Amino acid sequence: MTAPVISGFGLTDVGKIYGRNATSFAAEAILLAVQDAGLQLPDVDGLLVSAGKSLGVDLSLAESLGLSDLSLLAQVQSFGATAGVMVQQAAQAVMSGQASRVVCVFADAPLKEGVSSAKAYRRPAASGHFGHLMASGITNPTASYALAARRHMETYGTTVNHLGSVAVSQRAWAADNPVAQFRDELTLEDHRESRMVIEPLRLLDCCLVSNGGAAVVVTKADLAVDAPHPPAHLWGWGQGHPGYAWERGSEFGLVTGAVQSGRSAMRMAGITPADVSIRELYDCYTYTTIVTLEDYGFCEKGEGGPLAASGALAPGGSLPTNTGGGQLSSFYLWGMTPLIEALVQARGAGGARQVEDNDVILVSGNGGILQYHSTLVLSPHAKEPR
Amino acid sequence: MNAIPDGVQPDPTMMSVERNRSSADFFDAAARGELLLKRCVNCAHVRAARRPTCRACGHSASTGLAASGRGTLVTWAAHPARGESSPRRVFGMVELAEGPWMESALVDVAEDRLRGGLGMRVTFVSGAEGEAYPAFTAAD
Repeated sequence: MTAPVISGFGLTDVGKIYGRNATSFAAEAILLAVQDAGLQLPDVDGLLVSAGKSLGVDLSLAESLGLSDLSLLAQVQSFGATAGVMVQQAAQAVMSGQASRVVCVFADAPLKEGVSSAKAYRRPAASGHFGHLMASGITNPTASYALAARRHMETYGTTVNHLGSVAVSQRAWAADNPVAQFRDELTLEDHRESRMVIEPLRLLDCCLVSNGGAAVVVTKADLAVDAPHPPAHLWGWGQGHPGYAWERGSEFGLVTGAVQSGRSAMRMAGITPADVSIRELYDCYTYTTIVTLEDYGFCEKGEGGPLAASGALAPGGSLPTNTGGGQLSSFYLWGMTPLIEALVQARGAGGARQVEDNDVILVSGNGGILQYHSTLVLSPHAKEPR
Repeated sequence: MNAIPDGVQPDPTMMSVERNRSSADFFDAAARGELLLKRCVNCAHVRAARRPTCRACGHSASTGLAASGRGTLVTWAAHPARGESSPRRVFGMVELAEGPWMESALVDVAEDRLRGGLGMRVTFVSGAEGEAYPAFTAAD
């Protein structure tokens, strides 16, 4: 049984948690994950580290935690795709025998008390070509996603209410997620009337900014048989990095790396989109959820907006999506947000928001301006030999 | 004293941009009223000036090429007004006639005209200080 599994996970308090740095969040997340997997720190022989924008964690985390004689140690950076990429590297390490129990951790603390979320990621003034880019209007990632969203809206007829439907559906899931930062009911009107951040994206189209940490333990199925909780089996994974041309013919805004990444992951898992019971999609913006649903093949290209408006993504809908509220409503720890919720659902620990059919869970990670993509396919069941 | 093309008035509501060593040719061209591109020495593929390498062949060496200044709008967005000193700012992605895309401020365009494929032409703007830089406006 060399098949890879995730045998434990840990999530610190997330949100406006002040007075702690990223290292403190990372250390706590690792301890929680190791304990959840029924292990002790010395059992860990691999560590993959991911820092967010505040760059507060690095390889020194291993020494800080007294992790010695590791056979795998690296800092991984694929931006929003990192969590999935780390799990994939960890899975390959345990399958090859290089390591037996690999912890993957992400932690970030961009929020400072008394400073607005909007300023948490503010770039300093710049000169030269980069200065010209900023003067041209590309002042932050939201500006680039606004361009992408507009292109999708104009090309396929995606509407403001389609975007709003994603926000409303995910908030309905968040209502039953005790760790979600926003749980009050949301309406399409609330979405439409929320402050314009960068047109066409409103405040309720944008993810949160959070302080916190999350970690998972990747190991082999036969090493997890005595773990306190049933593991999540890794059925398949993939990556897709489109390398947009930024010139004539570019598909920017219309098609993302989810096409390639999803195809690889589903082929490895031996499934089709119709087999997926739960989708945990990287949702930095409402638009991202829509374009990702299309690119994975859950609907035709251009039909992501109407799909969201149909209520299919919401509790009780036919395609449960972002069941913890996602980055829009629960918390923002890059790709750990969808991954942790996937693990909660795989374990059947979702409480009031638990989806009954949790057989196949698809997790996405999206980084940069739709430039980097990773996919995981998880299940509470071991993959049947093919 | 920065060189600014004839007729470009510094606009304190536009962001000021300073040159650096790697962008000197670009801003020299802007001061002459030219939008500078790069043409790959190896394969002649044309790219935006800020791109360090040719995505068609991977080579870095290039020569300068003055763009025609014509293009079409790919997509657009807008920063809402934030007080008097920061009026609404419309920006977009323009596909140059030569092929490369350029992020650009969109100036003096009625917003209800904006759509993918709208014909655009280059113009030059400047913040209160610093260099003149390219922006785009409707071609007609």
